[in-house]
Amino acid sequence: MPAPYRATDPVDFLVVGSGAAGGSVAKELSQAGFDVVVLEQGPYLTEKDFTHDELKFVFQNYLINDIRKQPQTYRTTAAETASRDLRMVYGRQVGGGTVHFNSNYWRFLELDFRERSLWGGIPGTGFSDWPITYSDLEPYYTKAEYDIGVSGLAGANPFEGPRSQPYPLPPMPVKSSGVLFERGARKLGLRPFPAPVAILSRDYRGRTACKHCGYCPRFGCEFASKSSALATVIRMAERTKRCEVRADSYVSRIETDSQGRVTGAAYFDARRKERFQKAKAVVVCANGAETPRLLLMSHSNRFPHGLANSSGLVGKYLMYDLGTLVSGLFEHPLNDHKSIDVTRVVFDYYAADRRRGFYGGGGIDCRFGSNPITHAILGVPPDLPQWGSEWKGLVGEYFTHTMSSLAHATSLPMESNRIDLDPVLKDAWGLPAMRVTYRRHPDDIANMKFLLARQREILEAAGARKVWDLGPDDLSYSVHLMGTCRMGADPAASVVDKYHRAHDVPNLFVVDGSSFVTSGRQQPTATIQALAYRAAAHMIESAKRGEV
Amino acid sequence: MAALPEVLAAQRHAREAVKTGKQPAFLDKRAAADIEALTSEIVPTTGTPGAKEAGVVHFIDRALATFEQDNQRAYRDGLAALNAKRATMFPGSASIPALTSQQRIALLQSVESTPFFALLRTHTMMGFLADPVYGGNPAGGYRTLGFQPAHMYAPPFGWYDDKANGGEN
Ligand SMILES: Cc1cc2nc3c(=O)[nH]c(=O)nc-3n(C[C@H](O)[C@H](O)[C@H](O)COP(=O)(O)OP(=O)(O)OC[C@H]3O[C@@H](n4cnc5c(N)ncnc54)[C@H](O)[C@@H]3O)c2cc1C
Repeated sequence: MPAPYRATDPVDFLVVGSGAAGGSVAKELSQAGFDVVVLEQGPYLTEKDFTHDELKFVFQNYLINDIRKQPQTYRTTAAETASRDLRMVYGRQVGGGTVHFNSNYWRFLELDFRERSLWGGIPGTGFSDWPITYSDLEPYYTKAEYDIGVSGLAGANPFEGPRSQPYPLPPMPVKSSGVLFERGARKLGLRPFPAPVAILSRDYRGRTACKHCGYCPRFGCEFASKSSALATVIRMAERTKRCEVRADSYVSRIETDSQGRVTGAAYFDARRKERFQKAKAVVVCANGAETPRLLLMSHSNRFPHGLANSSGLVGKYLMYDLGTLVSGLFEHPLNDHKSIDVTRVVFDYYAADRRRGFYGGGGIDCRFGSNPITHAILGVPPDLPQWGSEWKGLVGEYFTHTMSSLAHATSLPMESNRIDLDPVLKDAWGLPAMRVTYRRHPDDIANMKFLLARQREILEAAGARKVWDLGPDDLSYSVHLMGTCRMGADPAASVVDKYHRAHDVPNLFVVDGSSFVTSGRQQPTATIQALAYRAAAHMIESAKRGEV
Repeated sequence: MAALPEVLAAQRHAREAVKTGKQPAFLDKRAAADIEALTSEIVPTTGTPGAKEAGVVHFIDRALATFEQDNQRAYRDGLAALNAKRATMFPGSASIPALTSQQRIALLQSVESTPFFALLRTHTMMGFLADPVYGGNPAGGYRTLGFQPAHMYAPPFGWYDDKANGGEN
C-alpha cells in the first residue's frame, strides 16, 4: 500500500467509487503521474475472502448493497408514494460490481450510438443519439480488453464494428449449453458465436487461467481469474504508488467554493466519523444509481437543485436491466453448473426492425447460472412438484440436464423514470435514502415477448424435451444501472459533455453507467470501462494543459 | 447483513447435532418435533437421505436464534396455524408428528401457497444443501442433485461438449 495522502493536501484527482469506471480512471490517472485518492464506501476484500459458500454469497448477498443499512424506496410513477424495496443492485466493495459479475463483456455495436438517427424519435421518450460514435470508443474498448484480460474470438460476431486488435485471449472452452445453443441457433439460420467474457482462458500477465469452478455470478474469484477491477486496474493503480484506495469511506457530499468549483468530498470513515478530503478535481464513479443520489445530496446555495443539475436531468432517464429467461431439459447430462456462465450468444435479433411493429432488440445467450441451493429452490419447472418424494426424484435430473437462455433487452429512456432522494426515509448514516421511480415502456414489453418466443424456438430447435419460461421480466431489481446523468452536447438536455465533464462545473467529471444515452442490449460493463479510459485520457490532456 | 459467522455456525451446529443427537436450543420440544416432521415431508428420506438425516431442524433452530431472528414470529404463527388446521382436517389427531405421512402431506398441500410454507421450504433446502466445508454433508444432498463438489473442473463438462472439447461423443 502506498503512503496515505493527507486529507488537508489537495490531491490532483479524487475518485468516488472503485468499480469498472473508478478503478480504470484511477489506474490511468496515477500511471500518468497524478496523485489520486479513491474513496470507496465498501470494504477492501481480497481473494482470501472469496469462498463458495452459497448461503453467504447468494442468500445473504455478501458482496451486494445492503438495504437494511442503505434502504431504497420504489414506485412506478410520481403519482404514487414510494415504499421500501430493493431495486438498484450493485457490488459494494473495492472493485464494485465487477467483483461478483457474470463477466459477460460485450462491446456495443456501431448502431447503439446512433439509433435515434436510424429509427427516428419515439414519443414519450428521450431516445437520442450519443454524442460519440463506436469509432471514438474503439481504441478504449481495446485498451480495456488488454489491460484486464478478455477472452473471445475476433471476427466471430458478424455484427460487430471494426476492431483494431483481436481479443488478447482465445475463447473459453464451450460448455454443453453452448454446443446445444449453437446447434439450435444454426438450424434456424442464426449466427451464434463464442461469448466474450472478462475471464482468463489462459494465464495472463501474472494471473492464472480459470479453473471452471462454476461460482461466478454473485461470488468473487479466489483465483483472480475473473478480470474484475479488483484483480486488475485497482492493483495497477496501487503499484504506481500514486494512488491510495481508501475503503470504508462513504461519500456524503461533494463540496464547492464560491466560484462554483469543487474542492473535495466529505465522507464517513469506518467509524462513521466525518472527514473531508481536499482535491483539485473530483471524478464521480459511484454507478448509475448512487452517482445521481450523491449529486442531488450535494446541493448548495449555488446549486440549489443538486450539483451539476442546471438541466434538471440528474437522476432522470434511468434505464433498467430487462431480460427474459427460458429453460430447457435435454436427454443427456450437460452438467452446466461447471465452469463460467455463458459460452455462446446470438446477436441476430440485436438490431431493431420495423417489421416487428415496435422498437427494441436483444442479445440472447445460453447459461445455467444456479448453484445447488438456488437450484433446489427454483430449478424444477413450476408445473411439476416443488417438494416431496416426486420432487426429490426430479431435482437431480433438472440439475444435470438443464440449460437456460437469457435475452438482454433494450430499455427505453423515459424522463419520468428516475432516481431522486426519498423525502422521508434516511439511511443508517442519516442521509436521504434513494428513491426509484420506474415503469416499462410498452415497446420494452413487446420486445421482451418477442425475444421470449425466439429463445423458445432456439431451445426447441436444439432438441429440448421440455421448454419452460416465467414470462417477460417480472420487474424485480436491476443490476445494470444506466442513464441518470446522460451525456450530450447541449447543457440544457444533458448533464455531462462527451468527455464526461459536468456542463456546470469545470473540475467535476462523472463516469459510469449514468452517462449512457441509450441502453444498448444490457451488459454495460465493457462500455462503461471503455468510456472511463476515454474520459481519463481527456482528463490527463486537460490537466496537463492546466484546463481542469 | 445478517452476521455471517452465525450462518456458518448454524450449518456446523446442524451437522454436529445430528451426530450427537443433541436437542434444539431455541425451539421448544413440540415446535422442533413439528418442524422435523414437516421438513421430512418436504425432502423425504427415500433411497437416499432426506431433511431428517441432514439435521434440517437443527439448522432452522440455530438460524432462528441468530441470523433469522426476524422470522421467529413467522414460525410461531405458522406452526400455530398449521396445528389449528390439523385439528379441523384430522379431528382427534394429537400432533403433527402423530399424523400419518399421507396426512402430513395433505396438511402441507393445504398451505402450499402461504408465505410460511415458502419460508419453511426455503429453509429446508438450505439446511439440506448447506456447504460441506462447515461440517460435511452427511445427508448427501449433493448426491440427490448430482452435484460433483470438486469445485475445479476441466472440459469436457457434459455429454454434449465432449466432442467440441476433444472427446468421442
Ligand atoms: C449479479 C450481477 C451480475 C452482473 N453481471 C454482469 C455481466 O455479466 N456483464 C456486465 O456487463 N455487467 C454485469 N453486471 C453489472 C456490472 O456489475 C456493472 O455494470 C459494473 O460493475 C458497473 O461499474 P461501475 O464502475 O459503473 O459501478 P460499480 O461497479 O457499481 O462501482 C461503483 C462503486 O462505487 C461505490 N460507491 C457508491 N456510492 C458511493 C459513495 N457515496 N461513496 C463511496 N463509494 C460509493 C460502490 O460501493 C461501488 O463499489 C452485473 C451486476 C450484478 C449485480
